[in-house]
Amino acid sequence: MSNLEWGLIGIAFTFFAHYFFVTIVLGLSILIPIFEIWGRLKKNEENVAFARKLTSYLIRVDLFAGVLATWLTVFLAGYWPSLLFTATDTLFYPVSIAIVGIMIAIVSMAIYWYTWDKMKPNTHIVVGLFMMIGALLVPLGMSSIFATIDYPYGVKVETVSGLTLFLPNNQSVFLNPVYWPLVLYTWFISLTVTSFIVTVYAQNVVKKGEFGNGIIRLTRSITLISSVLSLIFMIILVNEIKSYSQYIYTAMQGNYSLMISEILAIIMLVLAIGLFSRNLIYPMALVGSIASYFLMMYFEIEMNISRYPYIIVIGKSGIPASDEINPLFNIPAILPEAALLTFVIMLITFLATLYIAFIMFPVKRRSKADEIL
Amino acid sequence: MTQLFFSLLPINKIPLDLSSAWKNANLAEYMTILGIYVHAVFLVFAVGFPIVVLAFEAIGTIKKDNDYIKLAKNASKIWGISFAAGAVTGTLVEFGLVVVWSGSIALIASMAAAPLIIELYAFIIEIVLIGTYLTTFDVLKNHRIIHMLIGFGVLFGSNLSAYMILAVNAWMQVPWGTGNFVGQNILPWVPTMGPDVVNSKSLGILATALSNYGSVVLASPNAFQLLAPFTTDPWIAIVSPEAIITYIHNLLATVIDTSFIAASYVSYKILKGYGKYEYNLKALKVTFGAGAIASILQPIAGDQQGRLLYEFQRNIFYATEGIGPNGGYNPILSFLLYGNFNHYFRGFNYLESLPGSNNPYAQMTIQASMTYEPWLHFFYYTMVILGVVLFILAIAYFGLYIKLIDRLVKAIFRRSTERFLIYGSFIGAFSGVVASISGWAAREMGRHPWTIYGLVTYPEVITPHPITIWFTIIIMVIELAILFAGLWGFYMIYLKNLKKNTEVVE
Repeated sequence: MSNLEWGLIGIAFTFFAHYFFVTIVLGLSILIPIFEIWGRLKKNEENVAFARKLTSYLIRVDLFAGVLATWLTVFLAGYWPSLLFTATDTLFYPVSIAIVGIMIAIVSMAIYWYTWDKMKPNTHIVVGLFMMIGALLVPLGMSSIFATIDYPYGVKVETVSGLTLFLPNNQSVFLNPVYWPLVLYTWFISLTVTSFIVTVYAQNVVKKGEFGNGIIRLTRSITLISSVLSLIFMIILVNEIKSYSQYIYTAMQGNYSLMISEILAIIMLVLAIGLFSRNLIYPMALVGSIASYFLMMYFEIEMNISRYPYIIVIGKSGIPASDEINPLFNIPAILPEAALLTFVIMLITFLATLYIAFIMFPVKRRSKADEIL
Repeated sequence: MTQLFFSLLPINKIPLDLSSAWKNANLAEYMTILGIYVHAVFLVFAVGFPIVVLAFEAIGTIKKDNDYIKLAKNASKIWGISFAAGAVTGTLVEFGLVVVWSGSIALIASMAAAPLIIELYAFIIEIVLIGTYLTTFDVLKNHRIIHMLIGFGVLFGSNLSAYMILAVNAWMQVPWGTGNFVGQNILPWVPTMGPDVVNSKSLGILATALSNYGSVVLASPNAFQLLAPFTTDPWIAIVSPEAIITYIHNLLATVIDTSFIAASYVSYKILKGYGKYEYNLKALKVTFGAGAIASILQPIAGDQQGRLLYEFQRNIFYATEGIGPNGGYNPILSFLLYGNFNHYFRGFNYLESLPGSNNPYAQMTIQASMTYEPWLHFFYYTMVILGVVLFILAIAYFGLYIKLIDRLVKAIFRRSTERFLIYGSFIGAFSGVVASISGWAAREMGRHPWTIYGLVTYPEVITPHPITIWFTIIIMVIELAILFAGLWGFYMIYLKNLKKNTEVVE
């Protein structure tokens, strides 16, 4: 296969794997401080304890998400060098914001985890809020890349003497009409997916008698609110795509993926409402987790596939992917093949480890003796 | 071909503003240096320390001594913090590379593609298996061999990762596979750098384009097409002699650093009376022993590294050895390199006198080496002298097993070998860490003004966006926050809960 084919496969595979994990990281980074704040305000220790339990999952998932971020960067630089340069050049500030967000999120996450019971509650909450802000900043920055390849606002394309140059045009990329709906949709769909999953988990631990019903009341409320907001921002986003990125809109409309996405979003909302039914909460949460995840991935995949054969869409046409692929030499196929194989094996190992850590032999708090080295 | 490229480029629209590019590069350097050193603080525990952890586990399994198993478990806890912080800072360094030093994307898309894609496998193997190793420590207590195999997986992953990253760095020092290009066109004292597998026309176009227009030229996909075909051997960076020696030298350095840091921690416990003496002594023998073996091997690797410096980067060699512009004699170097004491080392004046040295890049390179010479000499000899200290400590370690050395230690230091090692471990940790910092400072500072020696300079790969002082300060503050958060994590795990005279974990 050519660089173009491997470039598309590599990026698609890595991006969608990364996307799932960062969705969970973002969702948990928002949910956890909410649980702690709510618990402290209502003097409900169960919410605080549940937040702590969720944090132990968060730090593990975040590491895996971080590795995949590196994968994305290297694949982009290896297979799509001029595209990556254009992104870092024209989107220097948004991408920098995302990097600062990663740094803030990781530092505050580590402090947040290691200082349970060792810090004043209010100070701990502030650390948690930093973690939330840091996590929110990451899609705030990275969404600018997708907004730009859907509608290159803030970028001028100059063709001079046979060279096509993508340069900043001094317009703020933050004013891209596609950008803010995309950011807001990304935030809320991530929160929806995670809160559905957390509701399933909460239902399980409540059944086992580890926690009371209070945690479910909070998580289903968040699920409902974020489902409504996801639907609203998805509609706004589609509308902006229709106005500014006609090629994508036409392609998505042609294969009914827009309609399917909207139906899925409505189903997701109905399931979120269903969480308030005492008898149906578990199946609703379970189906809701699958449906919201499916919607998120389906919408994302369709948006990206609809760009093809272009990699940057400009109105009704665009810059073909083949123009941006690395032409320097044929990257040996064994490299991406081995990468994907390693990824699959390690993903299975990672999931098995999570199973061992959380299901077979749940992590218990260390005894005092354990802390003596 | 180069002229063709110039004719294609919109010269009036995007010329490189050299002064602002230098300003950008100089400001960006601070945050990059700090970021890489912060990353190094954590990564050394991933690269070298698995050897110590696996040594504990192997001895415990063979001797059926549970103390060693506990030591392996306690030692491996550091990976939780070090790997998390290492992965985060590594990701940030990589982002920093493509965002701030955005011209380096051309490197990743060409000679660094193979090593960096392989590094991806290594990274994921390492991170997943560290989690598995820690999680299954007790679960697999009756299957120690399987657990150790997971540990070997960690060692393999982290070292493969280190090798690939160092291979890229090595290619930036000695661009292996470029044949005579650098020596014939830019730096006349540079010999042939391996087989001629990189297209010299492409190199010429890249070097000229970057030097005239800066990294912004990469905003054009057509520009990349002009550089094709770039190489016939994408693996060349992995197999260069510089990559192999740099890896060995650095692996040994990480073993020295982490072993002596662990040994000094154990010594601290002994001196303060924390835990059982016998338990701590077992830990000291293994950790100090690993550091000692690495310290004995390190001069061989260091010697090979020095020979490569002499062969391929003569200007840096002169600066690090403090050989003045007019040259001079250095009997030790002469003996090491030529087997006699009388070789006359010609200095910078000789380099300047070579035909072809009048080009601005050769002049700038010689000037930079002369400017940095005091610092390079200082850092280089700090590393060498501390290496000697480590070697002495390493020899003393064998006083535990060889009576003659034991008597020598007692005679010279007026302490038993055991006692000497307790105090010596602190000196070892200090020496190892300072030697590593100094060695890397000399290596990277020595390459000025080049990003890729003889091919691409710093301002040519910096982002065209202005790097402000505030931007630099903010990034550096966050980098320091990551450092302190990580160190605080180490403190929480290893120091906060030490209890005087308590039993070890049962």
